[in-house]
Amino acid sequence: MATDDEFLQVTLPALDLVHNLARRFARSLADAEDLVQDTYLRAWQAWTAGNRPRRAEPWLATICLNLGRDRLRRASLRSEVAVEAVKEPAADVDVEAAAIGRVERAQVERALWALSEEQRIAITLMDIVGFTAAEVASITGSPRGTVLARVHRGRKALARLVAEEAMRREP
Amino acid sequence: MSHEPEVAAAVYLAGTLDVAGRERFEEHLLGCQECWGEVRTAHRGRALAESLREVAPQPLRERVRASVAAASRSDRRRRGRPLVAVAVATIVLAAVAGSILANRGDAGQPAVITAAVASYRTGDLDGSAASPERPQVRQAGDLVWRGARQGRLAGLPVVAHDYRDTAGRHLTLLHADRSFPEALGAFHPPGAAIWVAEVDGVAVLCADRPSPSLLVGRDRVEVLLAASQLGLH
Repeated sequence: MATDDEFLQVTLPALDLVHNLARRFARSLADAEDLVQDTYLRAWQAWTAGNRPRRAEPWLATICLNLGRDRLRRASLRSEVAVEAVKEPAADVDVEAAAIGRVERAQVERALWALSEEQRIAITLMDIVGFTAAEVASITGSPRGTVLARVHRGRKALARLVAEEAMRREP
Repeated sequence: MSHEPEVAAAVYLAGTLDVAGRERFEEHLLGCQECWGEVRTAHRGRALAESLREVAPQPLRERVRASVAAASRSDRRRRGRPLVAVAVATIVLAAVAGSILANRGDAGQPAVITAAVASYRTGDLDGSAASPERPQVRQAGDLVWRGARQGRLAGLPVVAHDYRDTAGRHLTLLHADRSFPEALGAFHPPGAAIWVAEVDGVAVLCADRPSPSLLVGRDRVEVLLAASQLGLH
């Protein structure tokens, strides 16, 4: 019979991963923590039905991703205000002008939220959570080339958005 | 060969080029302003994204442990109780309830809770009529809203929203104008203003926000997940 000890032993080491992913689907920490709990409860439900993943990390990431997307869809349905993806910033921004030391975490967070949902998810899975492009392709169900393009364009947009904001703040 | 700086930089930064391919591209980078710009900007974006990594807070770890343990206890109770023991316990509790607690139903539960569970099992609701009330959320996981009825549970006016999936699983969300009484043996998940209980083999979850609500479903995991998806807290 399935025991929660065994389940937690396999899945709890991936808590940081799930937490970082959930943070990209919820604006508030409380909502992100609800999503983490839901991910673990859904995984537990599958575990008790006999599902034993080869690796816990991609399994939990897929569950969290599906629940998170579902939440975002519902949130956007409830809200009258459509979230519009930011267009690529002007290419002539000098990225190096925004030195890392001057960049605040909140600026990066805001810039990440300004990307399209697909770019944000791809960047989160590869750069924040640490999956390879092949793993991200399998988790998101997208071709590897599409993942690479999303990550690459997302990274460029992120760098430019942060640089633009840093320059706007220059005295 | 075509020159595509964006593709070349993306593949290079993915780290999947072999040594020879990597060395070739790095040599090319020294003389190609366009590719160099692509790599530099994307590299900077990656560093910024990596700077957002954080460790999950310790209370979250405890919360996950507690909710999985609660779900596990619920599963064990559902699967593992010997029938004779359950029958004896039910008879004893019913006798105690009948003789001592006039305002309580079977097994010492408040009458409203017993009536909610009975309504979930039979689909009947006292004085039931269709309700024009529409839920804010029409889907909870695989469960889709099927309709609303208004009626009474042990005298308490309620609106009952029914959610079902294609396999026939169902969940009832009850709304009232005042708080529902707490079920006997209710469990309060840490850090949440809700309670969850198992009554007569089904799971009951109660939340007061955004309005007094009682969720009745097959098991604890299902009602916890649905509560979160329905925005109850």
